Amino acid sequence: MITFSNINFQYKNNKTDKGNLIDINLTIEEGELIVLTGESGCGKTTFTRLINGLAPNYYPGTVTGELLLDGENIIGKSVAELGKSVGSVFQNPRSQFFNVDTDSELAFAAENIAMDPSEIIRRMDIVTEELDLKELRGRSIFELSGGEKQRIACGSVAVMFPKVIVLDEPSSNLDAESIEKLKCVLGKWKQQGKTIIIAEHRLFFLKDLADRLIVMKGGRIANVFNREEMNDLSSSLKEMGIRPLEEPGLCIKRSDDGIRDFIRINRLKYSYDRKTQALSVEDMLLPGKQVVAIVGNNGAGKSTFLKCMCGIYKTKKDSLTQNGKRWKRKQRSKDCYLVFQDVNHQLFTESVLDELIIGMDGSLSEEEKKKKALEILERFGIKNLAGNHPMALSGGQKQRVAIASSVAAGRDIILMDEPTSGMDELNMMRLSQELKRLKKAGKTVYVVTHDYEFINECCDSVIKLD
Amino acid sequence: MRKIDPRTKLLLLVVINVVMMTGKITGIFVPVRIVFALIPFFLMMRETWFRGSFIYFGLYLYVFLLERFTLQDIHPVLLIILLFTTGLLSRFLAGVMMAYYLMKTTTVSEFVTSMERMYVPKVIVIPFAVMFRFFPTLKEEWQDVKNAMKMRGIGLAGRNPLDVLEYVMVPILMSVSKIADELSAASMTKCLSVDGRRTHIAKIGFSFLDIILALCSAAGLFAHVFLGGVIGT
Repeated sequence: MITFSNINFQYKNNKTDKGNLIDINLTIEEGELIVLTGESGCGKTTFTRLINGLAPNYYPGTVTGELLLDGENIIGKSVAELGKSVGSVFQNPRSQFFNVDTDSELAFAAENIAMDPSEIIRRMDIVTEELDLKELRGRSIFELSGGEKQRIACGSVAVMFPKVIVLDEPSSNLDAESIEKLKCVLGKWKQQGKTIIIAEHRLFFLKDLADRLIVMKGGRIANVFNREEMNDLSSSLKEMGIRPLEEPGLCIKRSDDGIRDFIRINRLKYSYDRKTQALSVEDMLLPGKQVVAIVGNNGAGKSTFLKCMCGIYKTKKDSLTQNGKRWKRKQRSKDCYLVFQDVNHQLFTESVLDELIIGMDGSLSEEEKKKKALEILERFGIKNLAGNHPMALSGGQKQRVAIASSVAAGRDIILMDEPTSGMDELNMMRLSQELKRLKKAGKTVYVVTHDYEFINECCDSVIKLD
Repeated sequence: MRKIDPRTKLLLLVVINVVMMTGKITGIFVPVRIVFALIPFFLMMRETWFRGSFIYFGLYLYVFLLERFTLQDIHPVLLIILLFTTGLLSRFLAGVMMAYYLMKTTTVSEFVTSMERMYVPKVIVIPFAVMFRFFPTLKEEWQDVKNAMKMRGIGLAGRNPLDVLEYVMVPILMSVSKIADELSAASMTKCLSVDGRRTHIAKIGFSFLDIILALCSAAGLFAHVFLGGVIGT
């Protein structure tokens, strides 16, 4: 049982007078599965960090109130001490492994508390069986996909047989199939009577499992819904800025304005090493001057496809034609702009404003550039950040800066790789508006996504890669 | 196939570097050097990296024999240039390949286990262990940043080198420090701490092959020190 009584928390680097968590009072029963949701910055991640001890131990701040785990106050206990009973799974699959191979990672936590090696191996076998990790054993971390990494992360937590498990946006980098697997894992844990706390934006996969849904706003608990109440929520969620509980089906209104532009792709092949082919497209027709969604499971080669298309990867045999004319790689890299999934790598300059200006058309004067850049920032709701250093922003803000600079660059074709991962409802709607505006301006947008709600909102056609 | 103990690999790495870098290239040291160059070749063959091992050993033999036997009566300037390249390769290549082999075939936990068996304190072991993970990560990050620059039209040519340095270094450093930050948080929740005992599931230990390799190293070192291998004696 976890009891929050009068918990207030404020990070040390938060210079405002508003706390990050305010007046939290909540009791979580043993075996309950709690879903925390709310807009970016609402305090749901901080909530999980108090339970695993990362706040205030690793992310310093001041706490008042009591947080009881089975009757014992855990505020002030070390992270390593809490790690024996609380397991943690994080958002980014790239940065939660200490080891380079999966077996060592599964054993890692248990080794750290000096568990007997034969017991560790016994538990690893149990967990492998339970979570179906057989084909992932003995592999290098660097060759796994995001979804596979997240399964190993779950496995390495499970080996400790923890009573409580906290997950911080575990699905944000996963595709539909991997989310389904994650759901199975959560179901197993719930069956075993573990207490589970998940902070998430995407809720549809948690609907059948959640015992309570907690909506947070500005550091406070705004609403608590139990199972029955959750069922008749769908309409009011949108007003609260929360993603829907049902996974929407794909539903695209056919636009009748006739497709005039085409990009034809003929025998596009790419492989990272000599052995396996990462991408092979025989013949495909992509409509132009539209917003086109590209879907398909992890490993279908969607990201590779985007990188080949915009000319980052040199393909072996490429024959792309645009309206019947050959479209060379050099030209493609001038026409296209790609927004990467991990936006950390494409922000180079010292301020958000510069970030937009650096890619703009050279014929504009400095004044014009600045004016246009500010307009775009306004539309994304980040005008107030224009003077900030891009790297000092939060993940969601960086994502918006990267997308805004793709708009600012003014190229004809914009490619996006999972732009809505980890986005809340409000920002997802903002992005949809922007894409519709781009289409009106005669631009073409190809977006790789698994987000059906987003597709329904703004895409004109859907293409599936297999 | 039995794995070679990480301690043996470390010993070999040190001895190969000492013999190759500070040793003479005449007399009995011709066969000694070739034997030591053969060790990484043999180990790589054992891992079935045939292509890499043949390229390595072929290149090594070529530069070594060139340096030792051919470069005698040619123009001094040409000699210096050739000696510079062949000398560099024949001295560093074997050590580099051994280090590569060590990194590729040792898991973090095997490495940590063997260090702890040698009573190396955790404060030294953990940073080294993190390095194993860090190099592949850095490679991934570098690829991504390069792609992003290409896509944004920020070319390397024709720009102020300081700007280029900034465009490359800022995202890499930021990204890597973020990964490091999240990684330490994740490791702490998995009970990693500097004090306290650890157990290991990694099985390490010496086998017959380890003994042979250790004897080789000892013999090489002996020849190096007592039979006048060190340059200047």
